[in-house]
Amino acid sequence: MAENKVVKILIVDDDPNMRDTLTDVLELDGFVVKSAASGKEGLEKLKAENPTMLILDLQLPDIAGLELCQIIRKDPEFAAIPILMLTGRFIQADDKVSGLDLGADEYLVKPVNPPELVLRIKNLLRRCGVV
Amino acid sequence: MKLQVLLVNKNVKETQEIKAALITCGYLVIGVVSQEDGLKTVAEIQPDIAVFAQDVMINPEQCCTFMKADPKLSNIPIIVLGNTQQPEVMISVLNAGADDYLNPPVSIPELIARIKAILRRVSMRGVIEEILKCGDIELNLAKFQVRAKDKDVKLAPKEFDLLYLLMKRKNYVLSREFLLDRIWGYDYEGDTRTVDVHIRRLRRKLGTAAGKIVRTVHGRGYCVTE
Repeated sequence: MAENKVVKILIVDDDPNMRDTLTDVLELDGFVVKSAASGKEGLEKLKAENPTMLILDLQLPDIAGLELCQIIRKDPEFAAIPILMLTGRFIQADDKVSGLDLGADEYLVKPVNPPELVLRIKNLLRRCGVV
Repeated sequence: MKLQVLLVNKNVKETQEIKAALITCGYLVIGVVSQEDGLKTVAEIQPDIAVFAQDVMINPEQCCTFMKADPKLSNIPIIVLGNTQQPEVMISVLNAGADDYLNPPVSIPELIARIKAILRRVSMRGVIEEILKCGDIELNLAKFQVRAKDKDVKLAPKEFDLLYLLMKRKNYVLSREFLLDRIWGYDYEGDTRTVDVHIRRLRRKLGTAAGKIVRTVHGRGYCVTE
């Protein structure tokens, strides 16, 4: 990452392989990465770690990703945090629209292409005035 | 104030469908059919967002780089409606500064949702930052505040929007029709004299600071110049 500012990304995904892969890709690009395996843990880490942005899986074991996105957007402290939503390959088009309508800034379908993910994150952070 | 989307697409049917969906959502839409006209229109009207179909872009990367390099245009988000599923093309276009790249075929509901998401994000940032200055007039968008010769000027919301648009597009002549559509919306039943009335009030409230800054361009419209 060209910018000196530390960008901390919280990944909320129940799939350990996906968490590891995303962590490797993002750390290689200079991001600081934290992760959580459930919606509940995600909310706890959001408050404890105060990340710059969130990567949120749509299908979590306890709280659905869309619901979690809504909960976060209703919290004044995190209402403006950039959120990138990740979903499985066979997602319905309606879910994409719902995710964006409920407050996600970006939406990507797995499997994720690492250079695309990094570029979309950087573009999102630029739009948000973070970098 | 209505948000304005520039749509650059030569596919007439797709343009009509996207346009109809955007208008239903309350956006103002301007459509052109070539990259050249797209870039010319972007500079002239400075829309809130520009949607380019890749089919009309002679060189998508160059087009995005051109906009991002111009300080007046760099904050305008760009969505590219891709014509290929090749990841390397998407990456190259995103790398050149596009805010989004949609794989074909275009899903109109998804495009609308992405436009909304980008504009929601931009507005969160834009209102924090934007302070426009022209001569003795200063407009602070976030505080809904106007100062002329260092004195606060109380403007009605439409007068504020009018001054904001004119200052934002400083040195461009904006037609009465454009201002009417942008501020009052397509469905407004009044005529362009509404704009003249608001300009008159604006000049009166700004006093001598308005001077030659808020100009009438005969037969064309209004312009703010320094």
